[in-house]
Amino acid sequence: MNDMIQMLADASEEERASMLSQRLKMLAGQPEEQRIQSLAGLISAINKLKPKKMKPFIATRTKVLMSLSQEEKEALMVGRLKAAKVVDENTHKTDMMITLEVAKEMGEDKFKMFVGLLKMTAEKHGLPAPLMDAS
Amino acid sequence: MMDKIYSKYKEILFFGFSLVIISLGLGIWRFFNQMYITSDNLVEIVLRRFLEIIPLLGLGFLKLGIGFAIVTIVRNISATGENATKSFNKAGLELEKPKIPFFSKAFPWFLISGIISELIAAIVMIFWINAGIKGDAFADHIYEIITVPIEALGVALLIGGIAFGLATIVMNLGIQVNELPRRLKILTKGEKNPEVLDQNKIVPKWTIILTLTGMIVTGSSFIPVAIVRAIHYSVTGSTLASLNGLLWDTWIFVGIAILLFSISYWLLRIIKWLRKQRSGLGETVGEIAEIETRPLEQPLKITTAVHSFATAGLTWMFIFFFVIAIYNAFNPSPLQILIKPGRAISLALLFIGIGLALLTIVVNLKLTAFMLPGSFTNIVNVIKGDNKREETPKPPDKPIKLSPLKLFFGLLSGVFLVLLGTLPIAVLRLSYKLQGMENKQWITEHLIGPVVSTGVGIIFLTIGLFFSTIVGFVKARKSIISEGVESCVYYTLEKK
Repeated sequence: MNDMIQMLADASEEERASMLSQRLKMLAGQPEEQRIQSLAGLISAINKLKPKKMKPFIATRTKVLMSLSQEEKEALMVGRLKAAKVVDENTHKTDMMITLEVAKEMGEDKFKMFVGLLKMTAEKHGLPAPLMDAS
Repeated sequence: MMDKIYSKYKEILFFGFSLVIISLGLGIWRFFNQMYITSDNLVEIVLRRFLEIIPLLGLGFLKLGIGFAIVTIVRNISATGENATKSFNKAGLELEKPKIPFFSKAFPWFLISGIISELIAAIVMIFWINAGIKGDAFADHIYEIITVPIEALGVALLIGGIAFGLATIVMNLGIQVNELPRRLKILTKGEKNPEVLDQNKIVPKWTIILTLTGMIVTGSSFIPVAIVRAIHYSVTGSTLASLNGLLWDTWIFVGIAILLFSISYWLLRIIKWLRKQRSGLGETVGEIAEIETRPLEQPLKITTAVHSFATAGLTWMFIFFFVIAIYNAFNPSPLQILIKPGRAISLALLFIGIGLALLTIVVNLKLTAFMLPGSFTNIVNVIKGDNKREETPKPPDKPIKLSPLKLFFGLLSGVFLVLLGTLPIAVLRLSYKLQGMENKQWITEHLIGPVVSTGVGIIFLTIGLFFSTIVGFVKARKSIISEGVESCVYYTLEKK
């Protein structure tokens, strides 16, 4: 997974968005256990990127996530929140913090929509809501 | 433990390249030492022997780095097949195990034996330097006779290992390209394909024979000469002048050219399977998900050029060997100055062909990475009974834009240096020769080795980096196919 993420991080924004979109749709369709493991692998690999590459990568991932169907978004968010238990705490926190930061940079409306969806998904599935402070 | 060593291919590449660069610096020192400080004989004794072996050792490590990157690729492609087979087995599919041919088992050992040969040559070099310093003419000459054949054997094993590594990729990829669509159809539609895959059709026999021929020619090139020279020198105490060094030196290049030619054809076969993977999987997904599939883009024009460069390079080498090197061996003439540039042109053509093939492989792998996730999403949706379908990604208007052109230009700069190391130096030598300055003519000739080694070093480094890029894609392919097949099997079993 690390090599794949590195390859996507080095690709152009357009290529990265196109490949990530296909990949996230595929992950959304996976059985839940497999999806949690795949997403844990994904965020661990992203965490290994250099900071210069990490933020643009998470920005693309967040934009792609927001463009998916409601069902796909929910499946991925549940997987992501559950993957928090699989990866180490630092990886989880860094990923979540940068995700919120880039969501904020996408505009107030999109940020509210993103955070609202994340909270709703957490509540619906009885999962702990992540820290929502992007500062 | 071996896996850890194989994964260090990048470090090995850069170590080899640093040896080549150090040799270039020492080669330039030797040139100035001979031209202007001729009294310092000790420097010449050490540098002459050092520069005969160490640049080739550097190139040996670069070849080892490329070889280990190929081992990593093979292991990932094999793991993809094994993971998919395990998942299909869970769904009750009875699958035959593919036969593993001799070259797949042997090629990592070829690589390891190759570098050991080169290291032995480097150790003998230390004794050779010592004999030179002591002024022991007998030992000095015997060590010189011994090191070069060992070095040549190392070259044969390393390039042969790379070629057979590529053959293993061809075999594994060929099996998967044919088997994955068939198994997916069996899983989703219950279809049974009575056709059993003929493994012999996947790996062309003539390319295997060509690779073996190249290895034998390269590896044996100096051995008969070394034996005759050593016996003659031991008995008579004089060197055998009639064994023309340039002739045998060119013979090894004929072997290398055959190996590089076979490498070009292994790469072309990989390109064929990568395209078939996309078309075959695309058609299967279209059939299973009942969607329209897009035709593949036209093959890149540069792929056609690979054939031309490979053929031109090999033909040129044969012409030079038979017309110039053999002729010159019996009728010594100023033509011998053209032999090294002639060989360099042949290698340059072959390496450009290999570079173009690698560009096409990266483009095909990127296009595969674009289409694989969508294909599995569609199959999973069919199995789940979901009517949603992912559109097949549109092929890019200019697929060449997906290629790592920077790496190719790096390779071209190496080719340029190889030619620079021979053509202009040949002209300079010719001018010294015509002016009757024989000594300066030979001193200039000594520059060829380090400059050409640096050019070839840059070429090998860029080829290594190409393979390193390919490793990334192959690992991505492994994740996507393994996860995709597992999802398909999971939902199929859940449905039952």
